[in-house]
Amino acid sequence: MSEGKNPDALMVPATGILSADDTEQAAREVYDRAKAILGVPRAFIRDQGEYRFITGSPYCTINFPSNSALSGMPRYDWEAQADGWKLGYLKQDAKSHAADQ
Amino acid sequence: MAEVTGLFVNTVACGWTPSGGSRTALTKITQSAIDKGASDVSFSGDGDKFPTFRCNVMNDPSVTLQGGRVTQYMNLISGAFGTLDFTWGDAKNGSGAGSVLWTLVNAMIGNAGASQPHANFASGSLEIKSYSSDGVTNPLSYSFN
Repeated sequence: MSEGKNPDALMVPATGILSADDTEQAAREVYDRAKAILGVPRAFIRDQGEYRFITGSPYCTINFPSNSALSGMPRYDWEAQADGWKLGYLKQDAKSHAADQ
Repeated sequence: MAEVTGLFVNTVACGWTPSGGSRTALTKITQSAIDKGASDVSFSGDGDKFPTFRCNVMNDPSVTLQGGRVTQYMNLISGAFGTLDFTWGDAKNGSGAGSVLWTLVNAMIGNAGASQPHANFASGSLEIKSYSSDGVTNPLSYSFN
């Protein structure tokens, strides 16, 4: 993790869940691990097709919203991990921009 | 830790939070239906008799609630925006361990309807649609308890 701080978001490959014998259990294991990595009491998981986008708030978005001057630009810097997980750190613009509702 | 069944019974703790407002509990819910709203297009040409390519092009998640508190559902203003949340109870633990919290952000009150069958309870239905702030992020999320 960057500078030892918790990431702000995660992108988790869906294949690890969908290929499991017990998808329910696999999803819960992903959830528990995501909470620990993000350092949040509750995580929110969104189905993004091949990935699951996970953050500590249901209002977080992957890109800047369409009503922003930075519309379409990514809000996070992503660090790929060996296991396919990606750790997302909010860009400076995203921190100062009230992109989350 | 309580045993988690992976099965769900009943919709509990359903609520609507209008934008800039406070959460109102939606009660007497008898059914909550989630629709991912996935749609696709297929391509065919030349002498094809079957599609030779198909892909997902749009996802438009929505939730439809049904329940007995008809006047409450009917009084929600169609077109109003907010956040919907509700929990599917674990078959054994209710809203405790194993239950799933669903959250639909950027949600909009859609159509509502009600019916009163003879010798039975009136029931109402409420469609709640949504949009994505960035066009990429799914407005529907889930969270485990």
